[in-house]
Formats: sequence, C-alpha cells, structure tokens
Amino acid sequence: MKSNIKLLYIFAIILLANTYTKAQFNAGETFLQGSLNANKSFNDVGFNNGRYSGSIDWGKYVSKNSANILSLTVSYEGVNFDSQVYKNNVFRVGLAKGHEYYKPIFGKFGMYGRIMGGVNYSNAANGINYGNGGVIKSNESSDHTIGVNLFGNGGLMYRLSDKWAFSGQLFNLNVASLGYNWKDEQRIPTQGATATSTKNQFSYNFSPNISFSFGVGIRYILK
Amino acid sequence: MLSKKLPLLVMMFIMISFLSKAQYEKGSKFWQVEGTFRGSSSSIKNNDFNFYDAESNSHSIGLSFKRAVFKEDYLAKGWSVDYNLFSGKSSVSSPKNESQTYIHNIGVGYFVDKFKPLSKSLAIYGEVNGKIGYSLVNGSPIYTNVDGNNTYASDSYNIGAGVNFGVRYFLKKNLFINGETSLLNLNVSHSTSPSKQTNVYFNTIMNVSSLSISIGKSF
Repeated sequence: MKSNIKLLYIFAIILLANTYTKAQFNAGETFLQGSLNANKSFNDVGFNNGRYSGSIDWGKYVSKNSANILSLTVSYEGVNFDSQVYKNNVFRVGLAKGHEYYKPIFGKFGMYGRIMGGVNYSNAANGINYGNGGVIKSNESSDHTIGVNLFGNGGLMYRLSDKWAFSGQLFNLNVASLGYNWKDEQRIPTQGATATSTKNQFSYNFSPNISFSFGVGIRYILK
Repeated sequence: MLSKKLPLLVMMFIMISFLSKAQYEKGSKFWQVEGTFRGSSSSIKNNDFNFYDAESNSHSIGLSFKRAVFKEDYLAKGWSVDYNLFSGKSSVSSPKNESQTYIHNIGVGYFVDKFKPLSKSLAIYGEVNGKIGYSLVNGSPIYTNVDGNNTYASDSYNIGAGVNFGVRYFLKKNLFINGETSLLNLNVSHSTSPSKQTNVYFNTIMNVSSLSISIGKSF
C-alpha cells in the first residue's frame, strides 16, 4: 500500500515536471561561448614550453530548438631550447559555421547536438642546430596544412538564468575531412651546398565516428 | 535537488520506452550500411643527390552490410557481410622502381542484437556475433626477388566472435543511425602461404571511447 502511494506520488511529480518543461531558448536570442587555456613552463636547463589556445562561438537562435553557430579557434604551441639550438612551434587556426539543435528534456535541462563545417590552417616551424662538429650543421623545416572538415559535438545544456547557461559536452562527432600539406626542408651541411626538399601531400578521410569527450562550457546570452 | 530529479528522469525514460515498441517488435526487420574511405597521396622532391625523389599513395575502402529480423520483441537475429580493400603504391627515382600492394578482406557473419529503448527515438543494444573471413595480400615488391619473381601473394582464413555495444537513434519513423563499438573480440587466423602460420587475437574493451557510425532502415 505504501509503495503504491509512493508510485502515485512519483507519477504526479512526473506529470508536473513535464508541464514545467518549456522552451529554454527563444528565436532571436544571441549568445557567446568561449574558452581560454594557457600553459607556460621554464626550466634552468634552457627549455621553455608554452601552450596557448582559445575559442569563441557566436550563435543566434533561429527557433526555440535550433541556432546558427559561428566558431573561431586559435592555438599556439612552442617548444624552444636556447632559441638557437632547437625550436618547434605550431600555430593553428580554424573557422567553422554550422547549426546547433536543442531539445528540452526536463526543467531547465536540455540536450544539444551540433553539426559544423569548417576550414583550418596550421603551420609548424621546426629547427635543429647541430653546431659545427658534424656533417650537418642545421636542419630547418616549415610545414603547412590547410584543410576542410565536417564535424560536430553534443551533450547537455542547463539554462541557469536569463543571461547564463552551462553546456556539458559529452561527445565529439567526426564525419569527413580533406587536407593538403606542403613542407619545405633545408639541410645546411658543415661544408658544401645547402640541400632542400619539398613534400606535398593530399589526404581524405570519410570515417564517421563518435568519440566520448567531456567538458563544461559557459554560455552568455546577449539578448 | 538533483537526487529528486534523477529518479524522475529514470521513470520518464521507462514510460517513454513503451511508446517505442513498434520499431523493435516481433516480425520487424532492419538493414544497415557502414562505409569508410581514407587515402593520401604524397611526393617528395630533393635537390640533394644523396636523397631520392619519391612518390606514394594509399587508399582504403571499408563497406559493411547487415540485415536482421526481430524474432522476439527487442531481440533481432541476422547476418552481415563486409569487405575491406587497401591499395598502396610507392616509387623512388634513380634508379626508378615502384612497388604495389593490395589487401582484400571479406567476411560474413551472424549476429544477435538485444535492444533496450530509452526513449521514443533512442535505444541501446548489446550484440553477440560470429564471423568467418578470407584475406588476400598480393602485389609487387620494390625490387625484383633473387629468383626473378616480381610478384607475391599470400592468403589467410579467419574465424572470430565478439560482443559489441551500440546506440540506435531514429531520425525518422523508419530511418536510424547507429553508433557501435567493440567490447570483446576473439579472432583466430590461419595462413598457408607463403608459410603456415596461426595467429590468435583476444581483445577486450577495444576503442570503447569511439563509436563507428552506420545508417539503416527498419521495415
């Protein structure tokens, strides 16, 4: 008898909860969402490493269930030893445009999923200076990659207030990519002429998959 | 607050699951396909006589097809066929030589899927499967063999069984996408040429963080 009453109680709350679920975003609302990461380390041997990355998303809800998204990501990663001996610096930038779909599930909670198309560019500059003791004095390369890709992600959203919402990413979606890479390398010998080489590579990948990826984002609703 | 909401969410999922029975009821059928295409093409040019100019390219195609019938509510049994092809080619200058490799894999299997709907359009499932397959590797090496033969070929047979976990989401009434990953896999392969060799592979929780996607239709 007691368990039946408890079931009725739960059922009543579910009905109330369902009526409480309502549109959490409205057409015309715009928002910003971003991330910033910085790591820098030094040591007394002469190595210094730095890794910086940031992203900003701008979105506009075109209905209560979908928004247009524009996303910019930038990152820089550098490993240097005495600046003249070894360096490996990588710069990446990506711009993507896409659509986010949203479905309220309970109270202020909802599920979201994004599909994006983007272009990206990266440049890696690498250099090693061996000094004058060996056959090769130094080796330097510059590596460029340009690509287009179709990707997405999804997870849960919580509308905290009129101005703020939290997103909890649960998965990444990779669909397809095209890339072109060119690399120029030069080897400067201790004696003789400088040797150069050029590498060109084109690659494609259509391998749709979902991978679990967890993260929390803060969304600021502008209007 | 959250502890109060969680049981409600669970109850909602259970209630909604009764709405989604039609897609998983006895007599329903489904098919699904999966495809992957990958490749690259590259060239290296040197102005240094110590290093050769080189070119290479590789391409791979993977295709998979499954068909099943629900023998009981939420329990489907069916067969699968898959084919994978890899081709690779590389060449060097001075002296000019090139090699080519083809790898073909073909397999057929039988599987049993047990579904658990979580909502009207979302379900999770567990799969048990068994497969047999044949693999052929042939091509030409970059340098001619001592006996003058400039082609080679080897083949192998394999048999395996596995347990998979998947998620099915219905985009429309009959159109769905699947995300699937392997939890456990046992595979035995045996080759007779160029020499007799048997390999046994046993893997658990392989790539569980990544789900391959397929698309399908129920009817």
